[in-house]
Amino acid sequence: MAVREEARRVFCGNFPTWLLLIAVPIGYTLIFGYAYLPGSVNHVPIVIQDADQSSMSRALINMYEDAEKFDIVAQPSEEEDLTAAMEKSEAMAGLAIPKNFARDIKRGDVPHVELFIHSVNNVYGNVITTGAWEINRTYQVAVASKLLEAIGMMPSEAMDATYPIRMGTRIIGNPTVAFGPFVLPILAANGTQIALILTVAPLVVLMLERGTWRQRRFSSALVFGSGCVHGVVAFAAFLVSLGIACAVYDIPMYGAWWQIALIGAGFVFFVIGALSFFGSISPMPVVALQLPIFYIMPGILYSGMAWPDYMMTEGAAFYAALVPITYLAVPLRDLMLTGYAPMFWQDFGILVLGGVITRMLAVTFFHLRQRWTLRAERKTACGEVTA
Amino acid sequence: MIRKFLRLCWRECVLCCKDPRRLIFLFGAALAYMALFYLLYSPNIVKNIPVTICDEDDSVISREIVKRIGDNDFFHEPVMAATQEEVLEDLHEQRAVLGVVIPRDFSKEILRGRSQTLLLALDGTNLMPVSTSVREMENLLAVYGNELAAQNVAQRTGLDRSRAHRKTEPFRVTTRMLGNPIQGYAWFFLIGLGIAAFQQGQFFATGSSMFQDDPEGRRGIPPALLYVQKLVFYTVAAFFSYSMALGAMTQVADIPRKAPLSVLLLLGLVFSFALTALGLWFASLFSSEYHFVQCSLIYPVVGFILAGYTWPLAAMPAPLQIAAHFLPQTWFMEPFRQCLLLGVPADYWEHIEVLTGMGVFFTVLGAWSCWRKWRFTQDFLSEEAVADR
Repeated sequence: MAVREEARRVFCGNFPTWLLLIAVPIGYTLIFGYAYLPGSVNHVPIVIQDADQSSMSRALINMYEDAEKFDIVAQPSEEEDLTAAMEKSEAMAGLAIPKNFARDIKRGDVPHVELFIHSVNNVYGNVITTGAWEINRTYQVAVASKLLEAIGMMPSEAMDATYPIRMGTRIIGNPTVAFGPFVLPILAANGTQIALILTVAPLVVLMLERGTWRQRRFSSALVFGSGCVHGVVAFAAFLVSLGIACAVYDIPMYGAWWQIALIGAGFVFFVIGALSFFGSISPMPVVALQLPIFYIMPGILYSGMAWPDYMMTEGAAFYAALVPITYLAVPLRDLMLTGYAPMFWQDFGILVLGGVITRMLAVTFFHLRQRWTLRAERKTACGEVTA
Repeated sequence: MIRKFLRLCWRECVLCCKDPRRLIFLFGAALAYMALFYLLYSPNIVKNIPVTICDEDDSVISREIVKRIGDNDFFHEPVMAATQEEVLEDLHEQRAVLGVVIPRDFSKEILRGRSQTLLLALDGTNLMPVSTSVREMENLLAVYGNELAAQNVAQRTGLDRSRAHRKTEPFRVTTRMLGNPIQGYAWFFLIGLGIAAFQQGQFFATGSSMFQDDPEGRRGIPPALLYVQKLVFYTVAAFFSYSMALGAMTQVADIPRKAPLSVLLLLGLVFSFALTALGLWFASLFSSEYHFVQCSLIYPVVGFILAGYTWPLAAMPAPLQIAAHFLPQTWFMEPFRQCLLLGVPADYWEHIEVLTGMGVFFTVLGAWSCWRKWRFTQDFLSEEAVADR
């Protein structure tokens, strides 16, 4: 009967609860998938100041021109104009080729090319560092090779001599190092989490406010099972979000859907338990909505999805261990991108255990508040009788 | 009128004290988030990346490469694997993020003058350690490769070592990082997340003010005056909160402040104004604080990402860029970060104008929306008062 009532509130209530549960995770997936559609940052605006104006300097500039990573937006003649363009954020990178660049190379005087990086945004900083390094290194090897040919080496011999150690890179799981596969599955999970905060967090405190527990014998079961209909809807929306991520945004799915579903269900179970606990200690429904912003919301960054767990301080690791998304984020991404999550069963077990413990805490606090309420009512009644 | 206004402000202060949530969210949200994320990002850069190496060559050159990887601060002491399969197994089981395979005869071929390929395998599911690993390995191999190249060329051509080195490394690239020199994540995230939390705290406080208000107490007060009082009160409160957050960033978290304080304070003031006006207008659309808080909680993650704070706005598709320009956060976060790390941006005044314009726009919208809402309440009270009589 409690489940029927909850279902009625979810699907037939005045406020479209079911819409929030479905729209938030799916909406997040659609919006953020679209935002990360380009996959990687390209066409970084760069200004190049060529004080040398030689064929050698122009060859280097041509390499930047041909690279998809960069767009040359200006070629000022003075270094002051270069720094001004960067200060105005007209360019994110700058390259200054010194005067007598070609002459110094031929003389063996090893000129210095200066690379300026607008590193206020770390994403730009990383992209420019990597992109510029590749171009500069390729050009350096080409020039060195020519210098060795000039002293009598054969071309292939010169190339091998200049570039003795090559690097062959194989990136497992995300070969194109695209941003979408890196973050989108976890943002879908975060959307699910937020949808649950919006709808489940106030349930227990609403039960207390409405006095539902007075009409029911088994309030423990009521509290323990609260949010189950919300959970089912949120779980379905979560799976649909992942389906959208795969179908629309080409996020790979190498793992088994049953594993994704299992760990997703465990996650929803733990989140609902945590939210029930917050509800049980909140004085009113609005507070139940607001409290989780200090716990659930920071969880996505504490989950190890970006900042790796081996870099966390003890305090951060402790906090991360308490947050449900920690046990979903990395295994979910691993399952999708590589088909295997080494800690799958351990993470699933912790999610289930976390859900049980938080629900037991919610039941405990719910009972305490029931007792306080009854005690307060008895005192009031005694006071009235005395009067 | 001024006395009424000041009385209303005093009433607002009393209500804030009665409902401590407002003060907590106004002044505590940003500080709490900054403390939370300082705890996470205090190591600042990704280091100690687990590495596994299979050295099939076991030569002087290969051992030197292994030694240099071990000496690199960004890598944890490498674990040696017997075979390439073991390296891949370590990556598969996530015991390592970077796997290096040095093939047999690596050193012999290099000394013969033939280039050799070192295989790097990376667990690409987390891009943060991947980008660090690739960058550090490229640098390490380039430096060592140049040394070997100079040695080989010197031996084969009879040039002295330093001349040979100048042939194999004909020019150098010096990098100057402007803003965040070590690309640390503490500064990067503290600034953005502190502001995101400040914004959400401001929304909660203004929302609470709209709904936790006594209609009786509003009787006789012109709706316009009431709206202006709330707008001014919470703009000033938000500005103080912003100043506290700014102080915490620069004095406690050691984030630099390259722009003058007045520049940052003006930026914070117009942002507080735009934010308060937006919050009041948005709250006026709802019949209860509960539903307002529900809907406002959808915004923080969306706003943070669309503002272009991490994934650059210029890299997003055009429709999202357009949508992002309607958010006050988009016009505040980038110049704020730049003022802290680099100095006053050239388009600073453009951002001030846009934020001011947004504040005015939302003020007009909010004033109209609140007037409709309170006017109805006042009408209702008037009827009730008449009925009582």
